[in-house]
Amino acid sequence: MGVIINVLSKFDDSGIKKAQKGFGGLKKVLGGIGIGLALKQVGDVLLDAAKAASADAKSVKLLNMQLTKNAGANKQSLKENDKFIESLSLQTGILDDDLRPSMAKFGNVTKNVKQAQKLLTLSLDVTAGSGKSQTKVANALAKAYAGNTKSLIGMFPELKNSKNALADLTKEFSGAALVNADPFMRFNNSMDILKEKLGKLVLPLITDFVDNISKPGGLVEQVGAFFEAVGNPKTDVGKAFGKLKETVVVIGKDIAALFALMDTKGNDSMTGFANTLSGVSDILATITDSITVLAGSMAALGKGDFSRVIDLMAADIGVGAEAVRRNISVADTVNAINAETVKKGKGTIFVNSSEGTNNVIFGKPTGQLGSGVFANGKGFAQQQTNNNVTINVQGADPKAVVDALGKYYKTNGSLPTYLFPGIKKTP
Amino acid sequence: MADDVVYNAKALIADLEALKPGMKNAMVKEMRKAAIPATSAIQAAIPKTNPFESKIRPILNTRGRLGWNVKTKADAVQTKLRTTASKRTAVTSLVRIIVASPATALADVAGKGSGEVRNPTTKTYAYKGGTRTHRTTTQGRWMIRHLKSRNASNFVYPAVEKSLPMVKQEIKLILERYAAKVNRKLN
Repeated sequence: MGVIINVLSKFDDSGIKKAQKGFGGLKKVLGGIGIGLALKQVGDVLLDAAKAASADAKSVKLLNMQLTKNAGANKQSLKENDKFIESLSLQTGILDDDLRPSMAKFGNVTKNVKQAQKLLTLSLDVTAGSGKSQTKVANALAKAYAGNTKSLIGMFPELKNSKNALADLTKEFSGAALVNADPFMRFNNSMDILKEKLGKLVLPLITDFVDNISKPGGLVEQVGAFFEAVGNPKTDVGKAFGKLKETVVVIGKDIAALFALMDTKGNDSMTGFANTLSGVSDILATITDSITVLAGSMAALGKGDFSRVIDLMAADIGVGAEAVRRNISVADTVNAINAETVKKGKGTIFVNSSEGTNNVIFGKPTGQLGSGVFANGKGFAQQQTNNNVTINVQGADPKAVVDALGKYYKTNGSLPTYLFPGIKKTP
Repeated sequence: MADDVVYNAKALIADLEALKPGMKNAMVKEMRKAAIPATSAIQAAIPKTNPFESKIRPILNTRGRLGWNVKTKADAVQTKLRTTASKRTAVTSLVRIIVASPATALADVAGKGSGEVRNPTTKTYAYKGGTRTHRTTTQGRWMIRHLKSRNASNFVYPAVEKSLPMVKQEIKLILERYAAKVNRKLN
């Protein structure tokens, strides 16, 4: 029998541990199939950390200089002060870079590191307890310590009759910064501090590297000399580069001739190259869509959902692939795509008939070019010459086309009349 | 103030020992040091003399387990780390401050009831070949009134009300610091 005061509790995490083991296995599987942290990302993180450490080191150096100059701090007290700032930052969630200027200010006023630390803690408590700006509170406290309590009383009028304003403030707000510390800020702050610590490890390596490449006879000088030699046709390197240039020109001509072969009409290498690229891109997209539809069909087959398999197989490959990606039915995919097309005012309207999906080109001819392809194989740009619209039905049930347009009418009102120059509205 | 709950504490402490034997003890030592403001406040609040000593009947219990300073010192306050999980609840107290003396615990909760005697008369019981009942005495009420007059009841929690938030934060920070050591080593 006794009185028990709970200070810190622990959670029975046996269930979580099991889950962690499961996720660990998953991580291994993902690693096995090549999903992991890319090396470039790791490099970026390290460089970021090094930058943070560099900025932090600069800030520490500045504060140490001021404390040595104004508060007579020695090596030991500077080290302790650095630890104090880090610990305070971790506890309160306030960035150490924000704490150091205030610390420097208090060091200047108190001429004593310990006293400055007390004032800094008090300023954070008062800030957390009162909700006032930390800079303003720090300024007021520094002035009050020096004997000028005017701005502090301006902030806290109740201190007007106080005999010892700082002691009363301490009594009122002591511990407020810790109690009110924002856990997310503390987490971010802890991460930043860890990042800086990581950066401290990387920074010497980067400094060494930079020192090495920039020292006399180092990499920068050597590469510079090489470029100078390349620019000078009298040197061996310059002569070799001249020959290389000639080779490059010859190869360029050959490549131009090769791509020109692909343009059957004009022998223009750029058009030929563009045609080839767009052809390759279309083929790749179609292959990807086909694989997606196949995978979706296999999955549906595995679940015994035969109607979805039939729908996917019967649908346009693009629509089928989209249905698999969105994990919705083919009919819903058609509706969604059509709604987006109608909203954009250009593109392809799909009609879901019993034979599968068929497409109808829909678009505003004077606007941005659509992405549909007409039955004659031409694109929008090639097809239209004036403000006419061609609705091209590829073997679709005409009733379904009319139904689709009717649906559009219901939701969006009538089609713009300029789309139908041959049809005149009857009064 | 809501209690801070930590996860994976047992594994962390096992890793600490694996990292460097004796680290757990060092951590507990630091935690005890951090808890001093709370423990000393409790010790200061615990009466120095026996609060059960009634002015009306100055008879001291010097033998039973509920006696003041019997077996356990009345002002014995310990800070303990417990890593084994509770069998009854999902959340276990990892670090706690314990006021070990039963007499102090009793004095601490004294006077929480209404003060009314539950059964003014006892149940019938056998007595010298027959049965009898007797009235319940009210001397306990007097004792509690005496405790209250000296403001001795409920002193443990009021004593740590101010210092506990700070102690909690500091102890959590110590644990986080040691966790960081483990993480740095593992990663």
